[in-house]
Amino acid sequence: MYKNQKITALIGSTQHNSTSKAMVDYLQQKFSNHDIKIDTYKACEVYQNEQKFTDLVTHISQNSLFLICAPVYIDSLSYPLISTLEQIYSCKDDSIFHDKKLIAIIHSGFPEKIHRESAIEICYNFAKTMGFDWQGVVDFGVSSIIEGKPLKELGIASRWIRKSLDELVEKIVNKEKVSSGVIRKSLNLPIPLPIPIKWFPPILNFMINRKLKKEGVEDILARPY
Amino acid sequence: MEILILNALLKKTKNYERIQMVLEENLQTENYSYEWIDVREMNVNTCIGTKCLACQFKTPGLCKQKDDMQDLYPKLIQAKLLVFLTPVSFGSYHSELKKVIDRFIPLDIPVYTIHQKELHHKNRYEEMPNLFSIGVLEGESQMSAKTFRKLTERNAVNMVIEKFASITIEKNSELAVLEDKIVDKLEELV
Repeated sequence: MYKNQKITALIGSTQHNSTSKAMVDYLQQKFSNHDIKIDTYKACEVYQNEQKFTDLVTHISQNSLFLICAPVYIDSLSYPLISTLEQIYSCKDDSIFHDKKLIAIIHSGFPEKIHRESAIEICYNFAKTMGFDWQGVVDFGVSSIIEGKPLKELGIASRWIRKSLDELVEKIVNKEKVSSGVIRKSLNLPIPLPIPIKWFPPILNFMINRKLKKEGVEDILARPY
Repeated sequence: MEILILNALLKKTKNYERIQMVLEENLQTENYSYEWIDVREMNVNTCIGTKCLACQFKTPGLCKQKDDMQDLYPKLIQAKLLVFLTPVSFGSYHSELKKVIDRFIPLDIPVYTIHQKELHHKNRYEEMPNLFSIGVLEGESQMSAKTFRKLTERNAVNMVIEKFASITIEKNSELAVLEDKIVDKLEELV
């Protein structure tokens, strides 16, 4: 059992109150039942702050599990997160990063897994480059419904995400790998709504058009250049 | 200007001058006009994403951040070929280039469509430049090289780019190998 231990979490969003943070906050609550604490860092605060970066590296070296929770940003990870990972790599030292494990949680607004695959592979490659033991990934689509709100507040809308995160907690507590492959197996339910992908555009565009109307946007197709 | 080169390699990178020479000589021989931009010298702020999205919902197509991206946007739209020249970071573009790419969101509109059987946003502009990514591997694995090529392919699908190519080269590659790899792809794309 993985008890009385600590986890280092790095949030990859460019924002402070993000969907990734909401997920890590939820995990923190669940882990507290098992006397496991999470030291949480945000890439958007760490990447240009020497003191916070030093603290992050110290915690990675002290805690056996490193968790990256991040949104997909143009098919990849965000600039602040990639910058932070590059800086961690520049500190690579087998004596301080010995016997570390890495788990990733990757999410995107698009429902299909293919949109998240490159970002997942980048986390995997980082783990391998650092000599960390890759423990697998949990990935979610349609995560934009969370909008940084606490998962429990969203009720049934976030039930499928909470269920996957609960399963992740159990796996970590029981010291099981989330998935053995690079990316192929994950815990998530890939699409919360069991509808064909071709139905998404009319539904989403109806919501977008309402938002545009509310914002008073007249020429959504403007080409300023 | 027909070709826009966004370079994230450091000048001290081994083979930097050779890569630059191969690219520029071939472009000059073919009489292509091009601009070489060192992204590390640009003043570019971080995109703050969904908390902002002014470029989608307030001032469509215009980013509200006032920095060097304002000069880059028109060049991006008008180019026939966009070249990413970058160190490979775990299969990704280097963060200095990614900072610029993260700011490409004004080139989309928030309307959804199906493209290649996947859900995507529509492009704001009818024609996007072709894309050529050149990744320099420095102690990175073959898996990173594979991810790098896949990332460019995903960018091309997302941005509805007609032609794209991606190559990775070892920083210690022979000049002839570099030239062969780069010239072959340039001919396909320009």
